[in-house]
Amino acid sequence: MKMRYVAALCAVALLLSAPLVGAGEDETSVPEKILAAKADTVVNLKFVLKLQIIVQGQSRDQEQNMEVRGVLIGDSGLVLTSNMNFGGIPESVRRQYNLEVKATPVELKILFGNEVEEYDAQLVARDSNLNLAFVQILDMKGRKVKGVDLRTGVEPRIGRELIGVTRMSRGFDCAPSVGRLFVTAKVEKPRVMWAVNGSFSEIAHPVYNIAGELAGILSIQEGSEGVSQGGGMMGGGNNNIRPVILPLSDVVRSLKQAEKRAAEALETYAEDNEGDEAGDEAGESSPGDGEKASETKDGEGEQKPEPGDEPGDDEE
Amino acid sequence: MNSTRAMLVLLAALLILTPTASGRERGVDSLRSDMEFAKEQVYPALVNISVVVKNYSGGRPQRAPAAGSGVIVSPAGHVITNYHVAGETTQIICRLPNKESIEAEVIAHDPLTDLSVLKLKLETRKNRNIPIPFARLGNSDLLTTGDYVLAMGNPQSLSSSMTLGIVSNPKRVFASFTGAEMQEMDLPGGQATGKFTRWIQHDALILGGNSGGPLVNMKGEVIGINELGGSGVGFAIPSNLVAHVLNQALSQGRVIRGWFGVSLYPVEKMGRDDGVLVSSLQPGGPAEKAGLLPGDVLLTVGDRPVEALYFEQIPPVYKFLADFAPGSEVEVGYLRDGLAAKTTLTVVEMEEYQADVMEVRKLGMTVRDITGPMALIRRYPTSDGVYITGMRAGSPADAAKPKVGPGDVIVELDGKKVTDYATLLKIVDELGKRDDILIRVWRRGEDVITVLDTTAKKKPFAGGELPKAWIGVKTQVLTTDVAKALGLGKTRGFRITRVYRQTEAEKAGLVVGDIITALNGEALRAYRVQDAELLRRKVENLTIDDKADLTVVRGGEEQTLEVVLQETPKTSAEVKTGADKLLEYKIRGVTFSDRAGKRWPMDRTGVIVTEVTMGGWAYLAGLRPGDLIKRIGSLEINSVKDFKKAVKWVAKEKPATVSIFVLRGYRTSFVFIQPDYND
Repeated sequence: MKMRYVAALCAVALLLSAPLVGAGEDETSVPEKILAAKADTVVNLKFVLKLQIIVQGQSRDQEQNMEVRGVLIGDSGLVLTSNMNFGGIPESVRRQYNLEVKATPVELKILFGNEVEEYDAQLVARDSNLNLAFVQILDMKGRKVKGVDLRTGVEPRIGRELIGVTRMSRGFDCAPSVGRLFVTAKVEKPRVMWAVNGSFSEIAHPVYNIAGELAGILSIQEGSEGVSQGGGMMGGGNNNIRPVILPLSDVVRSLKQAEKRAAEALETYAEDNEGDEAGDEAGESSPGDGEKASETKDGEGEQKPEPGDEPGDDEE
Repeated sequence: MNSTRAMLVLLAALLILTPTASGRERGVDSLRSDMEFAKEQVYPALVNISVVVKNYSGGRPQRAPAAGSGVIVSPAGHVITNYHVAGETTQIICRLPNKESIEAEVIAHDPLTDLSVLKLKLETRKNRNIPIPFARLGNSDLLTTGDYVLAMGNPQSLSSSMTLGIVSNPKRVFASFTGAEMQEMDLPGGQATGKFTRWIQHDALILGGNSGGPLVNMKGEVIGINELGGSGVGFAIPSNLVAHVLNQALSQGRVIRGWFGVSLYPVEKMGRDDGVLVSSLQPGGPAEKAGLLPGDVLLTVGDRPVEALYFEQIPPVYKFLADFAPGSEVEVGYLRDGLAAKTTLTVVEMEEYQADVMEVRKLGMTVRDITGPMALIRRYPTSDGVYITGMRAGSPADAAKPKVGPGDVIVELDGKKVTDYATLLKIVDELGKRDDILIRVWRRGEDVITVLDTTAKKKPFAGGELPKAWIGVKTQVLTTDVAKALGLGKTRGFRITRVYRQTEAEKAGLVVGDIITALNGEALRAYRVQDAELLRRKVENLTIDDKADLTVVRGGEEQTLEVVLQETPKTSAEVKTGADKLLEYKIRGVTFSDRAGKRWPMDRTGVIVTEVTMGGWAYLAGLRPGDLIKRIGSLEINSVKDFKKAVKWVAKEKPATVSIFVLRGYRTSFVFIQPDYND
């Protein structure tokens, strides 16, 4: 009798649980599909970041071995990643701690999935406002790639879920992984962006709606006014810096500029590899050549100074 | 009468014996006339030597101007100076007291005596018919303590001068404070010196710049070459040693010496009054091979007795040994455990302790050959290989993993044995650009291999920050206090402090004093100095080429002005750059910030010097970072492209003087670079 009661209870439980499991499977199949479709767009960036950190006027040099993620954009080998990976620091943080960071990535390589082949690459542009950086693969070695098309997409909607795709680190087999975000607000000024919460935190990665459509790029943004709102030593966080989804139109504007620089980078790379010994006496380079250009003055790329703010100015 | 006569005789005697004032004057006059005579004999032959010294540091040569003194000692224009003046130089110019400047070439260097023999290029003189003045060498062995001497030279690189002193000690050697051993001396480049020298110590004032100048006796003979000095004491190399070096240089083009491989010590403390103690032997040297042992007392060398009771007697013994020709068989008589014995050794040629440093530019390193003495002292298995003295940061060897660096001995490159600098250079020339060049080095007993990559010479393009939207004004926050003082009540925003010329802001009609209170209708709530970045941040969030509405208060009236948003001007890191690798400086294009910051006209062109390599030719000539280059030679420089053309012109035409016309600060200037293209 007792056994019969238990069996009946189990049957009820199974009946009750069956639709739930079924609904869950349907739901998770969306991220799974997106993961399958987009995993190949995610690449690893390996480089050494040379840092000169100046805190309160005290300078310290260090080098960090970095391995971070980026996303292929288009089919030319251009990779989108976070400017923070190259030493970018929010302006309010720099000001708060009187912090200056000069960061130079060297020996930059791109790796696909968990392959061992490395592809020479170059940081070609930073957009510290959007917290994005653009890296160009210099020699594709005949490899064909198909990246994300940032020019086609939809707007996020408040209250809806977004899916992000990335990869785990090399120590975890570069396994493709997904995360979810929930759109909590739409900010209109000074630029349009959507605030989000959730489990996906890979900055500069595209996010998709559950229909698999591109909905924007995850970034973090600083409010255009104000400073850290409370917290202090007891915590509370900096509410002025938030994860947001950038509208594609803003990202595409940066992308267009970055593409020009990427083309110049490829051109220069090709010239340099022609073995031009004749030009050795007069080494000339394109804009932003050399270490100086790849340095960031203050962690957010070559900060645009106001005219008259550069060293040596205002000589009498 | 007798007494009177006696008195007269006595007076006469006193008059004769007592020096009169005129007699003392005659003594002074005598010294003065001796000095004038000596001056007439030597002073015209005194030269002020200006050199470009080539030191090696960080894997590259670094040049610097230096100066010293010298003296012409032959009608053919041979000049004696110190090795530490003329050694490791690229240009030597001798200036005579009559202001005539003549370039000189090196005949021989002899670091072991700190002497160099130069020869003036007399064929380059404008008037070759005028004979060149020269001084004669005297016999320094005749000097005694108290003799008057004149030091002639160019102290502190000033014009020629002469000081008077006396010989304090004609045979000075440097022993340690305890008197236990002779002190070794090293020249700045690390070369040992003074082994054969008993210096003439004197008190004629000599200073930096006197080095290489003559010490002159009252007969007008050069009896020494000043080498060290300061604090009222000077030391000169005796002229007899100078004559020996000069003769060898003239007859053989270098100084050849025999080497026994022994170190000697005086025997006084052994209670002996003859012979010289063998204190150590160089492993594998002639003396060791002949069976001599430390502790033996040398009694005869060849057919002559040798003896050194005191340290002062050691240098002449060394010189005596060094005078044996390399290859000669020499019988040596010695005492061991009280028993006399003889042996015969074969003299070998004495090598310099250190070979010259040379640059291997393609590998970004400086090296020197390994001499026999160096191999012995450092306990290298052989003198094959090349010793690395310096490494350029970022060079292929520096970038190798593991790195190759200073102190390593290259023994193999690309599978080929490296025996010396010449073989290394030959192998390097054949390498080309490759990323798989195997290099083998000997590192303190370890055999280390690594790979050099010579392909990654040029850094690829590296992008900077992308341009943002920008309005061409500078502003200050309208603080509460300022607003109140201006009668603007609670108005908040930014006061324009500068409107940049030829910008959209100027076109829009913005003027200094306007108060910007809103951007695209959004109020700017700035009222503290901390809000200074607010306007910039808001503008940067807008789109380049879009129009923005600025609400401004001007004269108490509010109005709206439409401004086209420009791109932020290019920074110095975003303009084209260039480099002259020969003259060693870098430049970049002129930016908006340069023009605005320096209040230059907006059409100002040229290139700005960003870096001048220390020790390079441009550095030597005084080119400075910040200089705006307007012209190189006769080529106008308006852009980096023009600069590149000029650099190629210099490399091709090799002008003796590269004149660069620059704007420095508020005035123009010329920089004259005189490179040695063969260096």
